[in-house]
Amino acid sequence: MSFEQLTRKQQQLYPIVSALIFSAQQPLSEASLMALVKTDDGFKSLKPKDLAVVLDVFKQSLAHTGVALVLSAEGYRVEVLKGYLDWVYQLFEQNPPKLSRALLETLAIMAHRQPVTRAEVEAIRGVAVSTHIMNQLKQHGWVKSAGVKQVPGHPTLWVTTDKLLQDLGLSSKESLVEQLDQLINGFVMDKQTQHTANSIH
Amino acid sequence: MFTPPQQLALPFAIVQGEPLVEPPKGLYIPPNALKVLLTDFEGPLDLLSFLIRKNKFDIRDIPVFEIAQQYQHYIDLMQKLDIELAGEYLFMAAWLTEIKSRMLLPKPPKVDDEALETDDPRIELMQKLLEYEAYQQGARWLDSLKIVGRDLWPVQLEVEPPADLVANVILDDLFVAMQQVLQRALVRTAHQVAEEPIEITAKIDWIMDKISDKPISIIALLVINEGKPGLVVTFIALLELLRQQRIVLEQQAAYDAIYIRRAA
Repeated sequence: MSFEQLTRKQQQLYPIVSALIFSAQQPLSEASLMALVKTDDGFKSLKPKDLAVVLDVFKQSLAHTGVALVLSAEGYRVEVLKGYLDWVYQLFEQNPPKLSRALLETLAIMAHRQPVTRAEVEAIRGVAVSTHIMNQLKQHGWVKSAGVKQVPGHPTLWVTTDKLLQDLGLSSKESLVEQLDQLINGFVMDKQTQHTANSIH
Repeated sequence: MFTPPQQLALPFAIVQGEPLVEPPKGLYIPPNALKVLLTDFEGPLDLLSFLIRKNKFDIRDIPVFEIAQQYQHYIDLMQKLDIELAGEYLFMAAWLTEIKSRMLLPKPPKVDDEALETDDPRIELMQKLLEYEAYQQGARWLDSLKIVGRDLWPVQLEVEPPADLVANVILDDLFVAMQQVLQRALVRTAHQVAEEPIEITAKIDWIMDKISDKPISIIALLVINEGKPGLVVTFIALLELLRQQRIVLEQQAAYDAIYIRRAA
């Protein structure tokens, strides 16, 4: 479908919706788009289907560009396509960050066990958490300190941030912890049930 | 006894349609490639779970003798290649040795099967490995997510709402306001308050002027309105003069007044 095939109301809606999506700080859900548009009396009778059609045409209009309209868990957002990230990073004379295994493991433990001390992370990984990794995590704005643990030495307690959730495209901290919990406990349980099953044999 | 089906070795390569299971003899592996592999381990637990996977061992029934030997082999290799080993690697080697020796000890008479199981010195190691592998899964899941900055870049127009107050200013008004500000500025003068320093060299000269061959009390050298700083500077000046042996200080008895005169 092209712009010309839209109804007049939809053609009026098109520039509004595209402006909203381009300017929003966060992804916009269909519900919030509807609410924003309906503040105008002219759009009182707008149907979700009208919005869907307009979004579809907007998506097609970006076809030959290096950006795309993407729907995530939180809503619609325009994003640079992955193949063009390297070009964008040239603007900042940088390369897209690489996330090392050490960093991801540390992050997984911190996210699941939060609030957690560095020593507790080290106990699980069996190796020291380097200052470099901690700095990277802090630079990304993914972890922050949240007080100290009331044990001798008063080590810092670490928690994950809202920025991490945004960057991972997750809706809440609960969903992050819960998904990790299922994965991790599921893995251990799985191995241990095998264990019991084998002992019976 | 249940025996797991033997898994066939994965072909190393396929040459002219024929799977090659063993790498050809004399295949050259550049030493740096080995070094890269070895430095890639994220610690002793990672190395251990790699060895267990590589040998297709069962994590619930780790053959400690075998694994300890292989582990030690890798450690030796890493040391030979001058890879800096974290202390944790050596700690793990020691732990494996301990488990090994505990397994060699004769088992106490069994009460029931459960007690035997908890006695297994490998349990703790197994739990640590399992937990670590679980978090590796967690890390892989995080890695699979589309991460802002690495996998995508949100496009966003900078829309800055204008400041709340925008007044229409006539150039003349601005000119008048500027003049008023300048006039007010003229009326204002600033005072600077600074400490007046008392120089030690000046004080030394002053003292040498003040004294002669005839002794006078050092109290006479104090200037009231110089305050505490003056007192300190005078003291330091006296010490300096004494060091240079340009003055002589005299005291008749303890707690008596101290007299000063020029050195001969």
